Amino acid sequence: MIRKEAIVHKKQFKATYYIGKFFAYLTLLLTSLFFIFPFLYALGVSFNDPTSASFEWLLPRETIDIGSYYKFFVESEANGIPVWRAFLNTILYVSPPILVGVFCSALAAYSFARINFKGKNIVFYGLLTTMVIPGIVTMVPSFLLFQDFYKWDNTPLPLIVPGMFGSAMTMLFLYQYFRTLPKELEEAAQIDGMSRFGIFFKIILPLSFPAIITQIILSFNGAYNDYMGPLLYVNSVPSMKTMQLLIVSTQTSMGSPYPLMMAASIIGLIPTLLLYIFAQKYFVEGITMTGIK
Amino acid sequence: MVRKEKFKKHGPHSKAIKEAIVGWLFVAPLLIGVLLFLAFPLVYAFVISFTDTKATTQGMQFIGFDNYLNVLNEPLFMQGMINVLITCLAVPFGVFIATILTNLLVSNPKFSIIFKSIYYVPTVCGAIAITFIWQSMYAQGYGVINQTLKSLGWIKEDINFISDRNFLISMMVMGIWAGLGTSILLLFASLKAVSKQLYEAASIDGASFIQKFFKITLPALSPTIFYILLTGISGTLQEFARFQAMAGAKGSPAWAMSPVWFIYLRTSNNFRGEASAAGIILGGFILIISAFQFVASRLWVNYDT
Repeated sequence: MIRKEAIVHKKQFKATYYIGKFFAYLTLLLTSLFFIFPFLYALGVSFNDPTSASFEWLLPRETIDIGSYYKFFVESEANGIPVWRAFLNTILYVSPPILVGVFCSALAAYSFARINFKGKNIVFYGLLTTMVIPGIVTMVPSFLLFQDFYKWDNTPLPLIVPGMFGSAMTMLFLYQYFRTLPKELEEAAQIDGMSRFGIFFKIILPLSFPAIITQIILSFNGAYNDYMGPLLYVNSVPSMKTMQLLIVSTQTSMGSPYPLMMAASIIGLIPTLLLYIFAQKYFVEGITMTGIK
Repeated sequence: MVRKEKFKKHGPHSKAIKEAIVGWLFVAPLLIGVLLFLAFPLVYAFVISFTDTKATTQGMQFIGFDNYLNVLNEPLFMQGMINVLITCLAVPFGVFIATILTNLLVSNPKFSIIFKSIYYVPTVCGAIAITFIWQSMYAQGYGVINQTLKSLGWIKEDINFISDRNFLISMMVMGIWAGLGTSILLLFASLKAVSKQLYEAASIDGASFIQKFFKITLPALSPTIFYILLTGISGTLQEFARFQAMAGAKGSPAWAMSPVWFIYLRTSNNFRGEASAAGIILGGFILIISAFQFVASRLWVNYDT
């Protein structure tokens, strides 16, 4: 008797279990669709005749017109900034601050994590305090300083040089990572007479490869998508424009030619999406590590 | 004698000095960068905010708080502040949705990695591209949202989603879509860290799903929720690219204005003093809001677990 009851109970439990699972996965699936749809929609709109006022978005469909992509490439070239050049510009602007900047941040992070020196705490907490300052406060004065004192107006230098010194945020991220590394290796190397720089370069950097790659990828993604910086400093010189400036220029005061705008957006999104697909692990690690303090 | 000298040279004292020098050398690049490109501009920001620096400047003329008063009396700036403050309402709403989805993901772990990766895609995309995509979805005539609403018979005339009052709601919907991935990732990580035994013990004691959610899940997530709210609100108050791209190159209408956009306009028109003052006002406002959130967080954020 008791056993029978138990079986009935188990069956009921099983049924509600599967119904629950079904609705859970249905919700997850529908929300995923909501996240993916705008991209498919953009792709659908981009395959329209750029000269026509109307557009279709459904894919697959009969007429696939790649005229908008063609127009994007041709028009950009006519405006003095071919697409390949805008992409190259972006890479040239973002690489030095990221590569040299991460190195400088790592150097400082190592010093704070392992070396004892007078004034260390003051400098460390001073640097952390600067992270609190909202970026907007220093935007205008930086712009004016670059223009008036450094005479860097209409050059990409303001986008490149400041980042090469590193950032407090990256430093903190790497500092936390370095603190988790075992000290034994370093101590052995010190006994062997290796210098601090040697230890940093030959032991710490290789050991923290994942953390450093994470920082490089996250910084690259942020810098590639940056709009305000290039808009302030290089927008007036066509040949210096970045990808984001090129995308935004497809929309004019005359109106919004959606197929063309979508074609430009998709071209601009390709590098980001490729990076995300191939380096997803690092994105996830980077975000969760910065969030948990 | 020789030995003694050697000891002196490599004694513990000289070693400490050498370490200190190396320590400072390693910190130097970052420190110089922060001083040159952050501390110096910060001081300069206050200096120009008190000076009369319009298009042509011959030397600086101190004018007290005039720039600050001008900015605060500027309807465009105040409208921008109101716009971004309204848009901030999307942040807690987004956290709410993210919490529900995260709970679903944790209790249904199969395929959760795939779902998380999909939710995160908009986050890696540039603001300009995603704003353009949403603008085309909101478009009148052929845009998918108007089309769908019309075919369902819910509306007869197209709605102009990118104007006046509708604009901010459109921005909020897009903002939630674009930001949910990060929130889910963060919440998922902190929910995973909660011990399963806690839930099991609660189940044995006869706690319901709702009770478990409010007594275990929410307190465990509260530090992460606080972090998302703090960064989300600070980021929304500094919005620029999305607002400008969504408004559609039709000038700078008040209904789409944001404070940073206002500052950008003032900077490019060479109203340096006002632009700088507006930056300080907005930055100060963000700091006050953040400080207030920190104080309020003591009431609801649980750091015990």
